[in-house]
Amino acid sequence: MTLGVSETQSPDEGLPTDALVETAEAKEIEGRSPGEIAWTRLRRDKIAIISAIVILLIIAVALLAPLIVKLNGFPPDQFNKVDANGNPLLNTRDGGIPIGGLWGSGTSSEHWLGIEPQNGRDIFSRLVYGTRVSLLVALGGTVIAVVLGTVIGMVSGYFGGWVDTLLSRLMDIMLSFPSLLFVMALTPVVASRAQDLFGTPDNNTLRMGVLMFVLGFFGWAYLARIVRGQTLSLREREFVEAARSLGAGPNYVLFRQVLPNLVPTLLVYTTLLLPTNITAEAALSFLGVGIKEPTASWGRMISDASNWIEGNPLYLFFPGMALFITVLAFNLLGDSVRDALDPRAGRS
Amino acid sequence: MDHLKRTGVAIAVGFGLSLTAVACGGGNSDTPSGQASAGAKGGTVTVYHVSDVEHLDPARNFVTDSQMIGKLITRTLTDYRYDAKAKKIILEKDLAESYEASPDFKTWTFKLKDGLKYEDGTPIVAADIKYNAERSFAADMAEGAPYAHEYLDCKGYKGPYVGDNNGGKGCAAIEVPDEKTITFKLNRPVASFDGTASMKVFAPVPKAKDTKTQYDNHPVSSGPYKIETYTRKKQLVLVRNTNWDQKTDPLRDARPDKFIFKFGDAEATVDQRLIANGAADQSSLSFAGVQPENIAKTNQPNVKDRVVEGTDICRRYIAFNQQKPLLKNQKLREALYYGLDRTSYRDGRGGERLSKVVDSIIPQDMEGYKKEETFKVPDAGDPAKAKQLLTEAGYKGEKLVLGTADSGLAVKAAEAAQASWKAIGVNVEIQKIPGDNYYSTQQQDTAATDLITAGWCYDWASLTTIVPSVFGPDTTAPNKPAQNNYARSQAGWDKMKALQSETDKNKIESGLSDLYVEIMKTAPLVPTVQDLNVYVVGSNLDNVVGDPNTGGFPDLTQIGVKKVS
Repeated sequence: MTLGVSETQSPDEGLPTDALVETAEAKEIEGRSPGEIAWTRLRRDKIAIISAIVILLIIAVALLAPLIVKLNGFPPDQFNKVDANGNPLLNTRDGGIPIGGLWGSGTSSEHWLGIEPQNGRDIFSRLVYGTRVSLLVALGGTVIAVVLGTVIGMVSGYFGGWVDTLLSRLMDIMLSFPSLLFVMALTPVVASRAQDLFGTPDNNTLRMGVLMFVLGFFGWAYLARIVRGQTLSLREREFVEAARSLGAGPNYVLFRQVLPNLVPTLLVYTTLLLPTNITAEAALSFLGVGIKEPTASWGRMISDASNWIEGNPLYLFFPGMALFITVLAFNLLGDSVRDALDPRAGRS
Repeated sequence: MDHLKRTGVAIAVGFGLSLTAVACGGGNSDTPSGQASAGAKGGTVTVYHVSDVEHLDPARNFVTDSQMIGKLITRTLTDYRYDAKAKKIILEKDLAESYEASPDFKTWTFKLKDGLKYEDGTPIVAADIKYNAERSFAADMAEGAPYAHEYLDCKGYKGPYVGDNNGGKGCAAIEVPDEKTITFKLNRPVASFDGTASMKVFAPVPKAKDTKTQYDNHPVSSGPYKIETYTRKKQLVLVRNTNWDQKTDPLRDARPDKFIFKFGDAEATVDQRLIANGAADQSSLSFAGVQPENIAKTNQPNVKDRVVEGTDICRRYIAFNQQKPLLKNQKLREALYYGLDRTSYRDGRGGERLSKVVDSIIPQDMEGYKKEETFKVPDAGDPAKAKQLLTEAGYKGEKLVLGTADSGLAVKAAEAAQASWKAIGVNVEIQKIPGDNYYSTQQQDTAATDLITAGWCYDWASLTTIVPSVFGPDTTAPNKPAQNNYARSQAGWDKMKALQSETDKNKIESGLSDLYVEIMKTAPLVPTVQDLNVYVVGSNLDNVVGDPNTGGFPDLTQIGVKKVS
């Protein structure tokens, strides 16, 4: 299905039907670009606004992590054994479970979300720093996937012929790849051979790079297919033919004529790919192939906490909630963006 | 009593293979009273183990878990028994009726008991013990204890499978004048060779039944149990060997009729089953101790009567690899020694019930143990002193890599070490190495990390299986550190060499004890903890005691079933 938004469309064609109903406003609407119309629609969507605010907050938390952690005064990697009055925080006779707090979680006025069993690290601080890892890796992976997917999809759709056949088969191969298994196998190998491969030791910068790369590498094919389909239809459109008949080369047509018309698709896909990648990064960390200790990451917190669910359920609850809220916010925003850009496929 | 490499691996990989044992800290060392049925025979005991054992072939069996199972199947010339009441590890004659050494301790003669039989009723003869010791020279049986080929004076011998087996004579240093007598000629004085003879390489293997590497799947029994079925990675069933005679065996009570070993269930799952004590698990136990997250449950009323606590003879430490230029600096090594918060390290390994801070890699109750008097570092470390030493060392924030096996507790402990060193300003990065090739990685000079977590269990109660193994040179290559000398320390090698020709056992032990103190002055490593284990066992089990000499596992030779159904 095409999204039906293009530079050469008359405003009328692109106008949503619901906007036309209100004839009184019809004059104002006239002259607005489809982008402006979508923006207006998005702003009226309460869910979109709430999601956007939540996402902005999460981004702010990631950017300001060191400042936020100063508020409670416990660096994320610091082991805390005693509270401000010198009382022990962990019951080392019972495997190191936190003393006191809600459901044995060690929550207190000092440690707002409790502490980790065995070492007393502050869960709030670790959640805050974990946000950085989650967002950075997911964003990096998404950018790689979108860039690769767009370029390969456009080339495949525009040139057709053997180029198309080749690239389409490549997409099929990538889509049928058991990517999670592959990533699990690949990441430790790359990490252990980092010195030979990249000349850098196995550190977190490298680990994050590897994660971004694998998420991007296994994420582009789906988008490329969509882009290819759109390009196939766009290249037959009059404005493309017009450009071509005036002597425009493939570069010009692809990047000046086709690409702008793909923007809505890419926007929607990006906002939906981000939460997928956040989940994937958490899953990889959960499985132990993410970044290295002691750097905090939501996935590893969840994996760690799952052992303690009976004695200290809140330890699992907080990172789980953080992941849940982030992914939900991105997903809802993605849906809203899609609705705004293409009201015909809308929910309401 | 495993080879350190082996045990070490087992230790590092996690509770599955590690430790437990002696009632330490006044815990309940025995299950409740044996009641009227104490000492009764019969019944079936189920043992859970997280993975199959590597080798049951006595020439290759050198890991704590398989040694515990091996005790039920194979007998050796001598063996160690743990006396839970006296809390002592006692060396007993097993197959041997008597033995004697020449005054220079280079010739040892063992006489076998009468009436010893294999599971098929054929008699056990001295030549079979010679044959198995020879098998351990074979290249594809290298996993076993190295002592036969290290001590026996038959240079260049490659095992019975090569060529005509040295003209049919085998290793000429082992003589078998008759069916009941075996003599070992050693290449050096070994005053504690009677302890060496407890190694599984000195168990009998009948030549006619030898299937080389396949022998692993069905070693012929000389002990109280024989293999009924063995499905690799799933299940091993042992039943009574009716040809075993209790009168000849001072080590084994052999009360149950049957043992079923179930391999592959995760520790946490097994924890739940044993804590619940359902009908199917009342005669069950696990080789894995209770995991830290379940420790609190052992205080519950229906569980606390079924708790067995203990420890083992193994000690953990972090070695400072002196092959790295940075760590050649003694001041830096001392700073790391002072900076390590061993209470945090202990908590990473599961807290006070599962781990205990030690000040030496020599077990405290062993002859030759001395309290640490050189550095006198408190358990929680001395950050102020450490910082001062760092300044003196001229340390400028260079990164040090700490290697650890990739398993839950090991990583938690490594994080604790990292955090305490970070607190004094040392930049430490953790490198996780898969448990199944952890030690082989650390043994390669090119792959070894700067800081190396390791563990060592002595092979028999003598400092000759601790000090030279952990600090000494390689016996085969000059100027190369021994396989398990992870610190690559060269301190004290000359004195070690001098002690090798010493024949007075007491002088050897006290010499090594002094030498240990002297070597530790160079801070080649920091001792960290000993493992304690907490087991929850089924309510129908009787006389469950951890055997500290065999990785702390529940001693299956003494266990019984209360009510035989």
